[in-house]
Amino acid sequence: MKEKIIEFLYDDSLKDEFNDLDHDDSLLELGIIDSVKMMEMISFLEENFGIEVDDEELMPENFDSINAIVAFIESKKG
Amino acid sequence: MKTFTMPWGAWYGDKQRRFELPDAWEIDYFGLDADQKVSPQKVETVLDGLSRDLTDKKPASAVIVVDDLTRPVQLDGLLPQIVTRLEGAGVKRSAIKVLIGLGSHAPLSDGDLRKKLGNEIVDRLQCINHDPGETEPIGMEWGKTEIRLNRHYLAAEYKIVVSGLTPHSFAGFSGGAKMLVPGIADMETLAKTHKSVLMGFMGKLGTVEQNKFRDTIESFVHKAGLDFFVGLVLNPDRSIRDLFGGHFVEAHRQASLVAAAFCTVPADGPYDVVISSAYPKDTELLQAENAMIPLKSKKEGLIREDGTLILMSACSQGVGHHGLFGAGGRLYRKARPLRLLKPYNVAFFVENVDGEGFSTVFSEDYFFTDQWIELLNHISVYLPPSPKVAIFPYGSMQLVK
Repeated sequence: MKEKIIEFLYDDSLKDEFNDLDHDDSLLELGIIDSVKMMEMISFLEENFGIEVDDEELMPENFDSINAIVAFIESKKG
Repeated sequence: MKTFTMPWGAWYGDKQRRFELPDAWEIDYFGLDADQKVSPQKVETVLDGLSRDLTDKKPASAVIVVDDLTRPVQLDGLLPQIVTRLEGAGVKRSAIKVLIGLGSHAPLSDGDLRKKLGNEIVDRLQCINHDPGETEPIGMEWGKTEIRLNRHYLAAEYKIVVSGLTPHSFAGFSGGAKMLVPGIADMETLAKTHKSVLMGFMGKLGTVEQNKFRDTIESFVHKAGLDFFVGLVLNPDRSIRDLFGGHFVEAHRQASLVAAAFCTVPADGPYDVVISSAYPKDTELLQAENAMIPLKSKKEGLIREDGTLILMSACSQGVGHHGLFGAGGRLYRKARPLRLLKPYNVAFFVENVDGEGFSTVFSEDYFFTDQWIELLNHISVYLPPSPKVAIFPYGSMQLVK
């Protein structure tokens, strides 16, 4: 799951950030996501992991690191 | 050559500066009139409402939260009148504090305080710069974040907020509940607020209705308490055009409607060139993004694809300071080209900033200079012989439809 998410997020211009990426690092603070990428990622997660993200779940703590995203998906899948 | 003027240097002289353009350029100049000033009667009516509320509540202490120098409103005329009302209701001068709602901006110096508040207030009252480290919990959480606000604010028996309303990228318009969250919040709340917006979860420009960001922060302010809000609609010369007072949601909504009507200008694009100034939010480079408000409010059709955007700011205080986004701040990251500006050729005309300072805020890919002729020479290669040009002299407060 982690590899699939990282593959989606990967951007060649951020090679250094991805090389040093810890899975608890803030994706926003590293410049890996912004508002546009975030919306693309929500669609990606919904399509690829069979979940539906509710409005009230749109919180930084659910999406701001690889580990947070994985934990969120797992919690949705129960 | 044709000439046009741009307001320049809010809080630092407020000059009208003249610039030249080639004769062949077709110019649409979108000014704003300062043709109306709030009447003394309207001020009295709003302050009478304050006095009635004070009479009912009989507080022994009060705090007045105001915005800082990055925001344009001058309060030296209005604040003494509010203090008079507080004293008239029995609140001792020694029990009245003025709290500067800085968020994580730089603290105001004594000179800055005098510009913003006037000598009478600075000499008579305790004026405090908000410190994100001096906060207490209000008993609410936002996701996993505990909301904490300034302890002086929470300790006061009567709470007043006074602020101007200008278009804001995510709060719709500045002021109201935003003066408290993030204005006087702790760093965790500040970071949470800005992250939510940067990740696109909430907020929109120029609209306070059905604005999830504003709805959220207003729920926190309901909990923390705010007795009286004074919302100021501003003229382009930074004087007060109109004001509304009372409950912080209702008064802010009323002021927002009037501010939106005043700040919105129709513009028939697409233009080959758009020139927009950050005035009256041109004190620092970190606020220069406010010059993009016309483009943010009309993303389609204002500038033609491959057109040119010229952003101007006096940057009287240089790069400036932001505890989250500035160099070393928690949300600071190396400046990259902005997606919003991708279709355009972008040039900055900014003063008091060197190359190193510029690149801490904006991408090195953008051309910047403090020489107007140099800028014209740089952009000339992108332009048709007679380019159609839109000029927004008060860009940070101009919404385009």
